[in-house]
Amino acid sequence: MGHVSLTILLPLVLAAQEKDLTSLSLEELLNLEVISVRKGREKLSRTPAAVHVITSLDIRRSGATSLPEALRLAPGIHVARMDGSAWAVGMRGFNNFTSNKLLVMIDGRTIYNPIMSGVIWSHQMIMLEDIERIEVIRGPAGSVWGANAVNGVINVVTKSASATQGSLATVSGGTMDPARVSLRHGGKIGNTLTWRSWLHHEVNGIAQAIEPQPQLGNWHAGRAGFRMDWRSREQDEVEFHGELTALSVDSNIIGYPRPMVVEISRVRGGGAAGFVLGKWTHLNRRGDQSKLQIFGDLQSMDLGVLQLGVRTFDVDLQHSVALSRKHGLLVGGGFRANALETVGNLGLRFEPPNRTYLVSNAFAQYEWQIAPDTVALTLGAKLEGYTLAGTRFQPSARLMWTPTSRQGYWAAVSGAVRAPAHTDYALRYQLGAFQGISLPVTLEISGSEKIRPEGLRAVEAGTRWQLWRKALIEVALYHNSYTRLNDTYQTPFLLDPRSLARFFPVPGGGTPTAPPSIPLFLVNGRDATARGGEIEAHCDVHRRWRLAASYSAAFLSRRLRGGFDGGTTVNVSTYYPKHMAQVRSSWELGSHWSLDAEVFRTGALQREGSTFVGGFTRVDFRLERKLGERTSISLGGQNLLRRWQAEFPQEQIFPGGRIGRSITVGARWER
Amino acid sequence: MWSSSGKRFTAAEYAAVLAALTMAAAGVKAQAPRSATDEQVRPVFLYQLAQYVTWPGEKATTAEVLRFCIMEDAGLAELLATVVRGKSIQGRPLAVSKVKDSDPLADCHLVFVGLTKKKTLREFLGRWTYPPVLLVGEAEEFAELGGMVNLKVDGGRVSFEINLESTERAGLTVRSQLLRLARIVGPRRSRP
Repeated sequence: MGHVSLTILLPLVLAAQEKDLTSLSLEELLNLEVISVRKGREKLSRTPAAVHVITSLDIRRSGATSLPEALRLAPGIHVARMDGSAWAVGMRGFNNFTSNKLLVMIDGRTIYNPIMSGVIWSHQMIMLEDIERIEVIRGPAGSVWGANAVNGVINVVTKSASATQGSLATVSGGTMDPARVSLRHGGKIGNTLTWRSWLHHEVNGIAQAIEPQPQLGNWHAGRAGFRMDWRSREQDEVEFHGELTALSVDSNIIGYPRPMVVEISRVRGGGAAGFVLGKWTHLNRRGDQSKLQIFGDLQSMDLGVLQLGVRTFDVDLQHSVALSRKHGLLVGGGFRANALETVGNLGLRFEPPNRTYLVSNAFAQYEWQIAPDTVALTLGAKLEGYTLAGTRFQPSARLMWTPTSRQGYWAAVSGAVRAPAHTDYALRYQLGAFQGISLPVTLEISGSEKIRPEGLRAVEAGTRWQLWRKALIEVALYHNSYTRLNDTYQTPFLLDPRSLARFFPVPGGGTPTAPPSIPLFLVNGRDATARGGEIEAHCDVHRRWRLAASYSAAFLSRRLRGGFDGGTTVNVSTYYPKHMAQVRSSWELGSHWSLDAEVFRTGALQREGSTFVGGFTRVDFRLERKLGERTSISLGGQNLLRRWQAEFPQEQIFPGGRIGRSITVGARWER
Repeated sequence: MWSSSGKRFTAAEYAAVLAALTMAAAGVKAQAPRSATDEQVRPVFLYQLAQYVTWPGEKATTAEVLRFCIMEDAGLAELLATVVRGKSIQGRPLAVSKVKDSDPLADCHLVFVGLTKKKTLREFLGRWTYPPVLLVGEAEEFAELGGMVNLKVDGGRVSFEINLESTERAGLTVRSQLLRLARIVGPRRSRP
């Protein structure tokens, strides 16, 4: 029976430090910042889903300088830096600037943008030193998390204030991203209240523009925030967080002022945002837990051609109770209001410009230990109602079988929903070119109030094997059936060159006084199937040397639904590599040096048979030297193989660019 | 801090910040580490914990070796052995041994119960007769099920729970300084 420690799979024990820890008092020990490498693993080994946890140590040793860059560490996730200030992050077959089937949260607060649908990553440059772990769930999780948890959920968990006592300063600078500075200080008020506050500023670089775009300058992002944790001696914990952010970022935007004319212009943009979040957790003597979370979030974004304002209020309540030794129940409900305001121009705007969307939900999850510690069944369902989109039901059933502590098998069937965003209902966009070619007409692209939510039915299965004491392999496979994807525009006209010819001036006839236009309306025009899987392996080759490798495959096929035909529809693009692989090596060289290296291979990004970005290999490394207990310096290199590498195709409004090779130096000091 | 362009830090300004921070770092005298992995913390916690407990009867004899018994976790036993090497608690020498749940454990002062399956753990605690031994574990509901000290590593910090009914049953005295740092839990009530 025996307990098999999975710890060995995780980082290297720094023998040099153990002695020093014994000099701490118990109280000091409890105030240490602890990098948890075991607990998470043990929970994971019994989770009936494809989950990967990126720890704070992983992030630090990867040399990642931003949240989306840190996500590259997880298997089966496609991260592409588009132009320096925009990232595309997607999973399981779908990716674009607004990767709309992925739910991303920081401490339970969603950062999914309800106007654009998806995450605007440049506005989420949080301080990486505060992150305790990032939980990456591949596959649907709508029965708990609700809408948009379709292809996956990313949950960023920050450290508690008691884990960040004392001071921390980090600085780094590189050839791609010139500078970042983080300052943090944590303290204590009495025995039960801890706090920290931070200042963070970063100057990030921009991609090499593809001619004839104007070359952009660096962009800036700054943040100031605090977190307080209050803990009663017994059963209550209260968290209070808040942060203010400002950034300034320029972008190149493709504009179509007149038919036949494509203009790329540099626009000044930026934004400001702030949030406050409160969380109360109560644990009663029976071990039942209640959790209440409330947050308010204000965001104002200037994307150069569009100004967006979002005011969010959200309240969530959860209660978990053990009904008996074998049965557990988690119930909850929530309400969110998103008040949206937009300012556009004639070429790109929203109609109506302002609207408030309400979301309310209730969910239940029931866990039945059919054979305690060996077979467990989890049934979940969420009922969620949205403004305009009606009420949707998201069920799931998950089975976990753990015959021995070295083997686990799981299978799941679930349903998930992507609720339309404001852009799906209300976008009005005039396009004068199509796939890079200027058109003699203007395409009038419109969202539609008739858009319905997209649905997913997913079947998944996976396994985890511990091969011997020091190696673990995990495999996950999925078959996803999407219905009513709203990634298609339909026109009353035929979109072939001969029919476009009737808009040309007729020789000898009169010249049209205004450019003719073709209306295109967003429709739930396609269904799709995605199949694929991920395999992940970890091995502690030596006490001081750890290897991790992963491979993922994703095959997406989309087809028009009945009633639509190819001659009158245009597809919204999505790009995803069919194959991705990565290998990471973490090596402790004695007690003062550590060396990390990563190799990523990303397959070609294709659409309709044409390759937009060829497959490429990326190599990163990082070398760190400890100078005593408090200080360390590091040297890192990213994207070493190529001077410039495009990671994502040019998009309709984002021209994109090539990301530069980078050498980064950094210093870290704490006390 | 901003240069005259109003928008961009210059390299010189960053160099100045870096230099200032480095000097600040140099001016601080050495202190204990501020962060560690849970792997490092676990053995140190056991060592510290033992200092706050008084054993009754024969086990109180200070000439006797204080025995840490580690069940089902060879890694922890090895790390603890490194931690306690050359150390003593109240003048008593320390010893670490690896044990199984079927072994006689009444001679131990502290037993780390490394059982993770709830069923096995429940069975083990069900047949435990509460000799004067401190039972430490790291499993969900360990303390509620009749264990004594449950170590928790979560949210970037260490915390622990104590079940005082269990320690009293075993005749152990726990110092109040320890209770001040702990979350006190009661035994789990019977369930339908």
